[in-house]
Amino acid sequence: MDKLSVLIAGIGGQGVVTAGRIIAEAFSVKGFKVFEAETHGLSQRGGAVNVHVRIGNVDGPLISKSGADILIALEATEALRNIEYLSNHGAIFLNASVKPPSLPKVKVYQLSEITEILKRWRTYVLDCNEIVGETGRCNTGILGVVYQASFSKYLDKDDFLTLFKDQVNRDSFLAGIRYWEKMKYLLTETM
Amino acid sequence: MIMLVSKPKLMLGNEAIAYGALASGVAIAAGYPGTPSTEIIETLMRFRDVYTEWSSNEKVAFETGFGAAMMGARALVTMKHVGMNVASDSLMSSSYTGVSGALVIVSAGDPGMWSSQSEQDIRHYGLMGMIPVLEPFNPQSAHDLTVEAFNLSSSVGHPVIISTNTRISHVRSQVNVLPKQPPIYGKFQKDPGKYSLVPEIAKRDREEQLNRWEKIKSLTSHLVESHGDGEVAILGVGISYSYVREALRTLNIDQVKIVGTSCSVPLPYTIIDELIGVEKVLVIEELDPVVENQLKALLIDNGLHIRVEGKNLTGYAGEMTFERVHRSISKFLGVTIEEEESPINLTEVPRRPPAMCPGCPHRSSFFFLKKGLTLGGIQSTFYSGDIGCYSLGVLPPFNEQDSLVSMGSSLGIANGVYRSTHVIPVAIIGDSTFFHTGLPALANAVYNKLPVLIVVLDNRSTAMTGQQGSPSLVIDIADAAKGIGVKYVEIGDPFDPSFAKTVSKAVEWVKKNQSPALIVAKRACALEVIDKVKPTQVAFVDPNKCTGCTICYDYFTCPAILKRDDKKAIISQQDCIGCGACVPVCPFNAIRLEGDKPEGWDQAWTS
Ligand code: SF4
Ligand code: SF4
Repeated sequence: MDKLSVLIAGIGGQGVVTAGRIIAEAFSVKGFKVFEAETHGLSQRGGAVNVHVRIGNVDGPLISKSGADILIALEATEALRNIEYLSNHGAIFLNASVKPPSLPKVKVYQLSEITEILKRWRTYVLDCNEIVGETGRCNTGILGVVYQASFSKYLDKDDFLTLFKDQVNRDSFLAGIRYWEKMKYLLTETM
Repeated sequence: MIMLVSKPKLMLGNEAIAYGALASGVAIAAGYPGTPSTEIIETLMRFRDVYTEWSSNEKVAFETGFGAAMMGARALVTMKHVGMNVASDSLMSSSYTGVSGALVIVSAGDPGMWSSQSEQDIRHYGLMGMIPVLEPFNPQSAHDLTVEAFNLSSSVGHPVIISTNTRISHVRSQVNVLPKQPPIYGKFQKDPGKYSLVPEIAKRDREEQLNRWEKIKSLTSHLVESHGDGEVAILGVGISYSYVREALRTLNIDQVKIVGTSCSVPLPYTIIDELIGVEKVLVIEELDPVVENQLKALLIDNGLHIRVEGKNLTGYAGEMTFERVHRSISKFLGVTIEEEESPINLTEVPRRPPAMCPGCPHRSSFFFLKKGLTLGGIQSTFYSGDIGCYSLGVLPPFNEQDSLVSMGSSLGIANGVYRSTHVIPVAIIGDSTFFHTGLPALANAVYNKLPVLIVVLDNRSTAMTGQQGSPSLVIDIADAAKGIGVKYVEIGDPFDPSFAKTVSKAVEWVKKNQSPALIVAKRACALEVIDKVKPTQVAFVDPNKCTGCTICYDYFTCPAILKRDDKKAIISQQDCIGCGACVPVCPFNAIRLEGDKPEGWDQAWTS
């Protein structure tokens, strides 16, 4: 691998920054050079957030437009907001959930409209509840999926598992791995 | 005691700066929280042998470091870029007096304005005050340059600025840290002939400042590096150096000389040696042409005719990105750079600004403030706002921040609004901001008899930057206001609908007495409450009672309250923290709380 760029998008409070940090830690432990750029700072929840993770032969912390190999969207609308970062050959892991912004009277996209727009990329539409159930952690579950689908080429699952502080996260991550194994031929993949 | 690791550790640029300061024997560290600078002090707070504090504002923080450095201590001061404006009065003097120990100021800028009112380039303070400005290009260099800054400051006896920004401070990367050194505290000493800037002394200090500046020029001359050779050169400053290196590598462009510097003021004169034989040079730097202009001057001084390009190709606004670097390199070299075009062009993704949290008391304050003003006979007024989480009151449905320009500005602006229109304004200010720079303006409002309603949103924390403390934890704002001479002071609970009445009574008093009245809206930050006490209650909407009037989701807008397809309200059990603020908002009594109140709940909200 020369370099790998992963963009994680979502809403403040969904664990976007944590997911980015975990990916960076896992690659760092294996000796890859990493940059992980966050735009946190405001405490309030509910705003659009993204995290750029760059791995390998890189110097700049930000992904260029059309430069991401993987886009993880913890909320579906946020995939659209960040789509210009995704390479034409990139893959999208999309949490099939739409959350309206906390502004009154805005028109929101329906999930079907979003997947229609995204169909020109390799898009995996994921249902968090199906992966981790009621008690699991959505962000970690999806991380497990992405691990199994992509990062497992470079890392072992223990590189991740040791980073989680509690069992809920470890279980959610493993559930994501199992989900991918079970579903990889069935998941909506449009190209 | 926290052990320092010797192998590279993944950390934020801000942590790297803190570890650099520890490796330099920092003893005193003061700051005012501000994104993206906050984690520097937070990291240092874990080390007991270093004195750390959140000061009431950046000027006080700076003076704390300055005073310590007068005593020979090694001091660090941190703030966001706009904090430099607050600190600047004493900052300028520190360059005249110099210091006896070491004084390093970290200013964290925010190109692109992710969480700031402007993207001002603080490097101008370096030029204006003859203070060197070091600019890291990644978290590792942030650590190393902090050590460099302390060494420079103590060897010359002069303040040194480190200019970092979001993409250094809030970037996590591997950093090798040097071992911590014992803190160097000062020894009691007096030197009024140096530090008391009456004209006679200031004139002598000015001469010494100029001498130190010459010394600084030679001690920073090594902060230049270069790779490759060619008749054209690209000079990357700070983080832009990182972008330039990667861009040229991925674009496979060689025969270009890459020059990098991490000292933007004074631009090291050794840069001239790197540019001999070069025909033209492109300067890539964040924000303003600070290095570009110094380079042009240096070239003229040295009689060199080299074309300099910079902001004309990169543009001014926003943060540096690969796109800007690619575009400017392409124009500079006259080559086409193949860039992938995104196949779709989306313009209508609904914006998603941050929202006040579920349970945020500010939402209730804004909701009942508007009601109270109407009740008090004020239909239209000027909401003079300020900086904090409550700045989000600018958004619909509240629209209750007609201006917010800088910390503590609400009362001064309100004064101007009233003097020019005779419309009674409402000044809205948070507790931390009140003590930051609100106090002098409050004294002015009393002294000059300003008819104004002041609402202090007191959640007893500097919430926006992550719940740091505030002087309001130990000073009662109502007492402070009374002490300054405000005649009408009331405390109200924004969750209680009678808050509207408190507002209307105060407004009537202002109209009658033509003087300032102040209301303290007192309730803790919701995030802090749920950190202390785990919520066990949630709110429910009774679909039989709900008429779909839209008030709770369109006019109160707690993010946990959603609109069903039939327009009735439904509450997300996941997001609701059970604060109960929405219960009195529903005119049809359709919302109720369920579950047992956890122990210590009320106290957490009101203490
Ligand atoms: S305010 Fe009450 S009646 Fe109106 S939509 Fe909300 S719950 Fe229903
Ligand atoms: S009780 Fe009401 S206002 Fe409080 S968090 Fe729940 S829905 Fe929001």
